[in-house]
Amino acid sequence: MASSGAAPGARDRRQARHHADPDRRRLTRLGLLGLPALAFVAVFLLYPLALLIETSFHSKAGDWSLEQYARIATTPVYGLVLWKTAWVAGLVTLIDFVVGYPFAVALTRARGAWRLVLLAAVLMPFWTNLLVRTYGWIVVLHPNGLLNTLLIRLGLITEPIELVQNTTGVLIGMTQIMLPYMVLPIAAQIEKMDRRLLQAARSLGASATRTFWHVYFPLTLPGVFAGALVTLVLSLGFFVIPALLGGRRDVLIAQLIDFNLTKVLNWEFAAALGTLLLMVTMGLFLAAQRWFRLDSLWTEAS
Amino acid sequence: MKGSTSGQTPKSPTRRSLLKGAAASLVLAPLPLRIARAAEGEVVYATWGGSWAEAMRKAWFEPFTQQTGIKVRMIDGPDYGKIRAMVKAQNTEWDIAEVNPDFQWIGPREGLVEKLDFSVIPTDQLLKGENLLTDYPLPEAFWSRVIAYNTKRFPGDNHPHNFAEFWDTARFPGKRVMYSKANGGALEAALLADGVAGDKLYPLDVDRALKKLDNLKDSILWYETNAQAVQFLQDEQGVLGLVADGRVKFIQEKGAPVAIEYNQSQLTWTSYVVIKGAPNKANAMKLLAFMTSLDGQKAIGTAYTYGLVTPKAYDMLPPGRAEQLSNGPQQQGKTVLMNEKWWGENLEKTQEKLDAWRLS
Amino acid sequence: MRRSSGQAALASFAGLVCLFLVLPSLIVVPMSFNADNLLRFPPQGFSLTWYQTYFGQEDWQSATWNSLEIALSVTALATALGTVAALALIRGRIALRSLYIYLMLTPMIVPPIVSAVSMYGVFAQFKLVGTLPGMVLAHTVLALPFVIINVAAVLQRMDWRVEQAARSLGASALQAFFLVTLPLIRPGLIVAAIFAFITSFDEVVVALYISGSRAVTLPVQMWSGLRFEINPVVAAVSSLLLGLSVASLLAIGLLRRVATGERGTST
Repeated sequence: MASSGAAPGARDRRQARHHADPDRRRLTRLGLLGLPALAFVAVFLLYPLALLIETSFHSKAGDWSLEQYARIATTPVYGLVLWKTAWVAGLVTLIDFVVGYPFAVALTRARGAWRLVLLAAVLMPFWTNLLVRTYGWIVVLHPNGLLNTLLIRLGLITEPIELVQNTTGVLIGMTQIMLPYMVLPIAAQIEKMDRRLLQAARSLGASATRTFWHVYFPLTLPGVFAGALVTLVLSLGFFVIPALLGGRRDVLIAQLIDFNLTKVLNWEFAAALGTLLLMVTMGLFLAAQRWFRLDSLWTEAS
Repeated sequence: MKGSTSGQTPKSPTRRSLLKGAAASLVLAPLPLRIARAAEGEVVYATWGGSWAEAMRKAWFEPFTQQTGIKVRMIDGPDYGKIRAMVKAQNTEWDIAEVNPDFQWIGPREGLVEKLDFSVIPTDQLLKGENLLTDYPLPEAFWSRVIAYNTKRFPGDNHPHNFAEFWDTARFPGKRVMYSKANGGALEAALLADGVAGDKLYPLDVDRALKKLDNLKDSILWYETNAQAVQFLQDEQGVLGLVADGRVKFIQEKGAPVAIEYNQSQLTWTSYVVIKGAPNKANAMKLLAFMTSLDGQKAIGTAYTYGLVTPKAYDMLPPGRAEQLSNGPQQQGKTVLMNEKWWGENLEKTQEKLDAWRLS
Repeated sequence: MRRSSGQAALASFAGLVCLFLVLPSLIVVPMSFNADNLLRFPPQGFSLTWYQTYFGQEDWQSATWNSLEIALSVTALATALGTVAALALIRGRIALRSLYIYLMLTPMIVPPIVSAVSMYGVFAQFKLVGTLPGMVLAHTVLALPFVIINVAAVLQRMDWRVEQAARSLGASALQAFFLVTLPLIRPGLIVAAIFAFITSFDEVVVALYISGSRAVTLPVQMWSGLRFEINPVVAAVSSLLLGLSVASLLAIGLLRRVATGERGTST
């Protein structure tokens, strides 16, 4: 808004800002809508967690100390367990993506009764209590169980395969539980897709495959990332399934936390393990943010 | 969509009804009755539940209520973590909790239990034994971990008679079920299999036990709960196991093909403690005295198969019943007593070692 | 030709996945009719005892009502708070935006056992343990991240210009939101509400601590019935819940068909 031909001075800048102000104010007011939810989480979770983290920096005797962390660092088993936990969680996420993506596509393509059937299938795991589902898996997977008996009858195998009480069992169980968390965000994203973009690509001569990889798939990415993130993060904290379906080697971090918390009552140490898990998860989240542009999920709509 | 005069598009029925329902339920949700904590005539008892709770109800709680007018309210799940959280928050909701004996040392160490009132609770009839009775807990019941075997696979006498044989996978092939917690008996079993005498087990040579476990590594099915153990045996996924005797008897009655070998059985017990800040402390002491009286013990012995804590009560049982119970005559001379004091002090470090071994 | 074989492949894959998803839950149904006190497959004998126990016993009934009340309240509260927060995130200015996001996602990231135990101390101080409002508050915290993620994803893809157009035609901010934006993001909202409900209804770890002895929920009741020894009532309850979910999905499908028919647009 320069009144002369000279470069905008301070007065002009102030004027420009003033004109932009109503918008800024409105957006900021809108932003304040985020406060109630934040206050909620702060009081009922963040504050308790802060107390717990604070506990981790104490020795059993009560004085301020780093000995809990020293113990984690110097005892190899904890590093091994953390590594194993991350590995299992990552694998579950990958499998869920490979299985869940096509399923989400099928879900959005289905019409009428079929759509309901698929939706029911996705939501069904939620309606069965976790423990019961896990026992259900044991019945299906164990050497004399449904699956092995079927495979033997069909002549596909001669000896029962070990599908449970080992990492395979854990993966099967966790994959099933996490699948809805992967499928639903992807499906929601697909629903909202502008079909005209696909049509445009086809009309410009792109083959079905090209259209998929260059138009369809990228458009679904925010949903994929949302689903993958939720799956990964939730898998890190699991202990029911590994405990019941796992084998000798399947000791995950949450089981150790539970043990220290509820069996030997070493809360300082359990707090340290919990804090560590929290840091690992936060780290993963930050990494996802940086490499996969996860923040596209959170940026303001243009 | 030309009908609406108000010009409003209808909200989705699902969401609206959800909102209504939720609003209604928030309004109608009964606020907790601020019942005065020391409710007249009540004891809150935290138990592991199931058929054991039923037996206690019949044998102890109902007669106790008849005799004293004090009601007993049972709660499921005596979780140590909850006990600690309760006490630290000065919000103790329970009076008595059933615990594993390691809590006899963990409890006082963390300041979570009340001293027992021995002026109300007589102890002369209780079984005398190392570590059974301290200032804080009373022994509740005896039970043992026994070698359970599948009678179809290993019929008659052709089953492992001790842990050395239990370790013999050539002669007795198949999976063995064992408890994944360090004090679940696996370490003791390993040492016994390695030739250590029953009374020389403690302090446990954990490294030696783990080395022995290496030989059995691939044949072990680890379980987290008793229910799991029993399921494995019943489904015949495990053909041998180190399992709680009461649980094995339970599925035996249902027709599962399992039987018990009592030799080298590992005897242990459960205890009761009174939680610090218990709302009905005096009533709790009365209930404890009732449960450990000879009559109380006789009643529970008739109702369930756990071992009695007052030896004289065995004689009061109907004929043949004593043999059904843990630590009954059929087991005398064949047991190894677990040193729960050692476990109370060493559980944490030992579990760490066992977990490391599991990951190797 | 390629297209239909691709479709056939997709359909059969979807079918297999369906089986994978439902098999363990379905297997429990016949087990609930087992005559004796164990979980057996195939079941032996036929008996309705466990169903009778479920409907007859006070503790199962009150646990069920508690779970329903809590879950419905949580759905309302979490969806409201979460939608508003998602709006703020996508449409408004928030200082330290990334930090806000991380904080709001915390309930999802923290392992349930850690949340449960840390919450317990604070809730006990506020005398919220063993109360229905306490459970609602605890579960709402857990459900919030799911609501926010879903609503944010949908808001982000929505064409904002429609709302702007409404504003320029004279609608107030609230009118524009309720009459224009809300219907457009409905699918996302429904998904968010479903997540919130399920997060509460099926949740067991936090409930184990916060429900105390007076606000016992269904999962807590079932958990106890599976630790010491297996109680087949658990199988009966699961079968009932299964039936309920199928029935409610049918109902929702019917409702949507009615709504779609009226408005003449899809979804």
